[in-house]
Amino acid sequence: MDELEALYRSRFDVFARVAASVTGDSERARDAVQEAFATVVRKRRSFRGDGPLEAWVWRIVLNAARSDVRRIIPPVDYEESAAANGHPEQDAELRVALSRLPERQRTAVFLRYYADLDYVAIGEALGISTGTVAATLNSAHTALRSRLQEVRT
Amino acid sequence: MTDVDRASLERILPSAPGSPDWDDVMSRSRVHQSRRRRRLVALAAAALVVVVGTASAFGTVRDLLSAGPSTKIAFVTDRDGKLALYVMNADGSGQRMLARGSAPAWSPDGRKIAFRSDRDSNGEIYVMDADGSGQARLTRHPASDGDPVWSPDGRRIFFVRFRHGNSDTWVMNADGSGRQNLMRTTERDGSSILSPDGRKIVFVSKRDGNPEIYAMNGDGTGVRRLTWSAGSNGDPVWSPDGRKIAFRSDRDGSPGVYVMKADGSGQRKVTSNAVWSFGWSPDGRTIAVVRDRDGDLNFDLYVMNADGSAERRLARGIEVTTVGPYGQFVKFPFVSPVWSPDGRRIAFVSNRDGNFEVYVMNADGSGQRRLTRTPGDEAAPVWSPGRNRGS
Repeated sequence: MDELEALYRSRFDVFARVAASVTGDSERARDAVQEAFATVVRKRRSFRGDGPLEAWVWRIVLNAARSDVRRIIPPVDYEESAAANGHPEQDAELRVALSRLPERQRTAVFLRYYADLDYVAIGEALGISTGTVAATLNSAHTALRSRLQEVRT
Repeated sequence: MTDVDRASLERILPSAPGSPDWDDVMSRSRVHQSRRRRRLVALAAAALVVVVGTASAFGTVRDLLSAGPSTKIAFVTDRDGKLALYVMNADGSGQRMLARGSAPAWSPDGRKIAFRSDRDSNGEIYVMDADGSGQARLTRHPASDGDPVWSPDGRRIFFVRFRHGNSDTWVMNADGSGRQNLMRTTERDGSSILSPDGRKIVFVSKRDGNPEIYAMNGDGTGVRRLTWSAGSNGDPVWSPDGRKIAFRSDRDGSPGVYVMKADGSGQRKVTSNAVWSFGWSPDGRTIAVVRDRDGDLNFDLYVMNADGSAERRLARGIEVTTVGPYGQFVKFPFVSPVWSPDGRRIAFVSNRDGNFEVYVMNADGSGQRRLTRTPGDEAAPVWSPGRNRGS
């Protein structure tokens, strides 16, 4: 199996679910992932291999997801998605806190703590410098911490 | 972070939509072939998100160097459904479209505007008269070109060529002739920033391991490293007199804004805490910072003296936009606040009233006014140079 196909098959869920956090809609997220990988297949030869392949693919997936959201990024209905996952009561505070983060911060959190990308790969995926990744995650931490403290006091 | 782990994020994320279907991917990829040109445009632009933000912000800072009354603001909007460059008077009157495109850069004499457009294939640099007439294409290359910046004498245009995930700074004559790559590196170098006098370029590179700031001459010679620290250093911005450079670093563990002399000496931290973007006032005495200091998820604009003292908040709810790949508006506070050439006003973009619109305020934060009012989004305001206009 080709490296790209292997990546697609092993990480489809991760790509699709993070994309859904951007599109706010699972179906559109799936479409974005399919379109993005189709693009990657066609553009494969232009990938120079000077960064991780997965990070390059992430960038194209996220851009495809964002291109579907031309104006205001619709808020993800985290309540509903969590209910669908069978944990309606769990993580309610975190859900609300995450939903209030700016999109880039939220995506950075998902890429770091859900997709397990390192700072360099997140920088590639979001098209930002590693320093900006650090600042972005720092801001997200600050905001989440503040929000979580707020609901607990 | 104690509360965010993989398990809780896994529960929170929407469930996966269906199962993988590689055949569908391959079939879509074949369909793409017929749309190749159009798709290439969008993809090549994918690298632009941040670089457009910082480099255009720099372009505006450079444009602000000339003193005198400022008359026009160029900006980008999708109010007609497509990305276009508009111009208006500083009071918001006389709004009209100049061209399809983005990344406007006024020539130093205010008579021309260089910009980026993908109208002919992928992103290329174009130039036009300030009234939108005489549009001409300057670059012609399979890679995506963007971020035009004029040399102070108006004779050359620097631009960034994005190729295979790498970006190089190029320079050409204002008529498009004599194009030359200044970087010629295979390393992944970040965006390059031209000094106000056009003689130096700073850029960020990972050539020595971690992101550090380097400087070179305007012709690409004399590369030297300016920062030597663990952690990451980036987003350099020249002070208007070219003697200092503000930059971002997390060398002490928390991301902050630092200032150093142009030769790299005297590095000191001026502020920290969730900083998103920053820029110099035209007189070089003040630094504006957009950040979420209160952790309330609202980005506010602060100004402080260049040594970090006398910090004060000017405006709340700043969420500066830039134009991303596919031409959509990316609603991240990337772009530095934009001072008018005389330093008396600041233009910014905010969605405080719903969607993204251009606002201006006095440099002390008073008199905040909304200039645009459309169902579309507006972004990337750029003041025309104040001096020598029409002379």
